[in-house]
Amino acid sequence: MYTAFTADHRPADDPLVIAGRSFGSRLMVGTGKYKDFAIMREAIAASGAEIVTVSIRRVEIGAQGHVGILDAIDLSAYQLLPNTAGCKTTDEAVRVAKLARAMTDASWVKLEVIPDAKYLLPDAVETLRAAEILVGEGFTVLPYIPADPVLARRLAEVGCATVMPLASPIGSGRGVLTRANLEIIVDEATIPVVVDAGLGVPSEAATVMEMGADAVLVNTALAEARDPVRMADSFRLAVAAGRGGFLAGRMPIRQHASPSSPVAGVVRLPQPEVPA
Amino acid sequence: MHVNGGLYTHREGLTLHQLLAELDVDPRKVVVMHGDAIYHAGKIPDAPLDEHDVVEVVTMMAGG
Repeated sequence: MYTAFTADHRPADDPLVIAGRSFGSRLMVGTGKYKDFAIMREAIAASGAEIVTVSIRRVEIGAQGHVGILDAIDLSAYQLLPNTAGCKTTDEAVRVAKLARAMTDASWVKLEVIPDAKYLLPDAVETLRAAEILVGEGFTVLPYIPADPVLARRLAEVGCATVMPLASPIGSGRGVLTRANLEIIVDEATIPVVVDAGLGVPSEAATVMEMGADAVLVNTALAEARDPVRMADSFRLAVAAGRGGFLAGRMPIRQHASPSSPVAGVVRLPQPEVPA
Repeated sequence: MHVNGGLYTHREGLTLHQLLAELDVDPRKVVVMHGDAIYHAGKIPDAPLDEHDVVEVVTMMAGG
């Protein structure tokens, strides 16, 4: 089976569809931790991302100007994905989601309910509870979750738009530590799977895309790279390469070698005559 | 009254718009939660404030 090619001789791919919206890019990026807004803007552009995450915070009273991200990038160019980072309970997350909706005039929310500051691991029970409430109130909910296939299924059942299982703890750069569970989540998914958190280098993004993940979200891997713009470009290529590898279908894994050249017709030295 | 988690001195006749001006906040770039009511950026009413009110003024920041 061969794939169709586009006019520029690239293999065609279906768009990523989330809650009825189509995206050409399968890389989402965060906006945190950049040294300055200029580098952030360049990195986001280089990533090709169409979906970017932001946070909702109290304005700092007494600070002049309150320079937020609103002044830093053309938000209308992106699907904004406000998060509920910092929320430890369902009630906090629901409140922040509502503030985010008022801020963005859109109902997309990256649901994060995280009681633990050391490893920033999400609370599965509170996340499911908050997801049910927010879906009921008309939100498009993209929950950040532990790589738990049963939880992922439950979240799909309550109407979440995606699941966003973690590869390793947020900002750790430890790569894909949850591979076995991610494979199950991908295998059973009825909604897009976006692998979020812990990816450090492009090959890790390619790895999860090859496994069949629908998209990847990175932030620290770009923001803390020596050259965030180049790293953003490299993640873009890696996500595309991993996606292509998944669609193309990998070769079987064998225990032993399998020659790539014909076994017959090898040119050999004349055999020495054997005396009678 | 409470503003963004801290105590704020209330005085007679204080309104939401006056509060935002005192905080040096652009009302087009913030969302205000006044009690249970949430007001969209640019659509914040000039509501009178009570000394027992709880007000949250939030905006969009960078984040992952």
